[in-house]
Amino acid sequence: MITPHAMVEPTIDDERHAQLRSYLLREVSPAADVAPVPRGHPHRRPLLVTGLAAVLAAAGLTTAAMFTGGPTGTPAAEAAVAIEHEEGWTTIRLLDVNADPDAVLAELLSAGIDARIHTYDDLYTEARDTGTEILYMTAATDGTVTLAVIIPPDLAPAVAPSSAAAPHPGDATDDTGPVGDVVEPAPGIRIGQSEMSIRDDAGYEVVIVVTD
Amino acid sequence: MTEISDVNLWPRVRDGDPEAFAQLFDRHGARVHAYALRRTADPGAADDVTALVFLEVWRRRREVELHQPSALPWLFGVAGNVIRRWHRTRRRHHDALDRLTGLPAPSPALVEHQAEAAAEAASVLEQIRRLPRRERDVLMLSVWEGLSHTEIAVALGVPVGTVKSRLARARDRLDPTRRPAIRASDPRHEVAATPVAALADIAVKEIP
Repeated sequence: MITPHAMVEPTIDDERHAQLRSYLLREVSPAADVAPVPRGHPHRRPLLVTGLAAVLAAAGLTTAAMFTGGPTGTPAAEAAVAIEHEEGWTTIRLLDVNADPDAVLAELLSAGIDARIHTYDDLYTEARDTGTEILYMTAATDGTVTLAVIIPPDLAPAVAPSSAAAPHPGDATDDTGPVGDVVEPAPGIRIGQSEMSIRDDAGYEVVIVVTD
Repeated sequence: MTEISDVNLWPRVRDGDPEAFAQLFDRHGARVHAYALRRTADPGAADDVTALVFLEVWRRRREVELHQPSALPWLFGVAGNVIRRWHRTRRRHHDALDRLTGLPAPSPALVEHQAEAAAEAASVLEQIRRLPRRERDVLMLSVWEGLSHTEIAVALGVPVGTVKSRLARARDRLDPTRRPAIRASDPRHEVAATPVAALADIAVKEIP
């Protein structure tokens, strides 16, 4: 059972409060603001070394991009999505729910997937006005960006919610079952918590949804 | 002596007065920590989030005008952003967090109390896991933090009407008897109303 606000006890005691207070005061003290650059700090390294490091880093990034198939210059560790094409289906996995939407768009476009960026509320309005169904990855609930596909009215799930009870965007949580499940709510689309597979001939539109 | 309000304290914080900043922490540090613990269900993360919230407040102090008597709703908003952008914020304050880990460990009694609070938080988070994040945010600020709809609007930077509609939707989602027939009849949704649903109902009843 949840303890309501009025009954909640503090989760730090006086001693811990004092420790955190002292710590914060140290961090914001003027001395901390102008802390001297320590010996051997990278800012003091000769420009030649810095330039060489940059060249080596760039080479490393390019190599990484070649192995992941991502856009040139995008290190594998920072890719927002992973895309696979297999047996007539394209699978998109959202790797970073806090990714920059423009970066997600760039990655999708570079992989040949047409997409657009939409806000959560605008997409809801569009779906309500046009009768389309929006299928979201459930990753929406924890991040600032998620992916969705737009299903035209004639291909929407056979029994759609009535307009009066139309789900708000993000309802994919309700549509996709428990975490990890992948369901096929419409022909040619499978969708799960952080991945979706679209049959290449289905022609659904992919949308990057900014959930903030 | 009458304590000055946050809105009167804030100009000193904005001007870089560490003592005023410390006063702000004295007033709200414990509430921010409790909120962070309930949002993360992790006592260690709660320390980090609390520190990051106040470090972010300090970092951005010159950009912020405080219009409410209490800074708490805004601090909850900052905390929500810190938690959501955890990795990015951690990177920004990497060295400071290293120093935080050097603090003495909390007392055994506090550790035990925090573990109980974390266990309860984990249970509630599981119940509301399937809510869209926006609805979770308003529900937690209302039920757990006791904020009014107006204060939640300040915390989240949305209109009061949006707070009310999100609360109502959260309540409906948590209580299967309120769901549209199609959803209630779907075997995937055959779940009992959670204890949280009852509290969500109370939160909604504040709506005139």
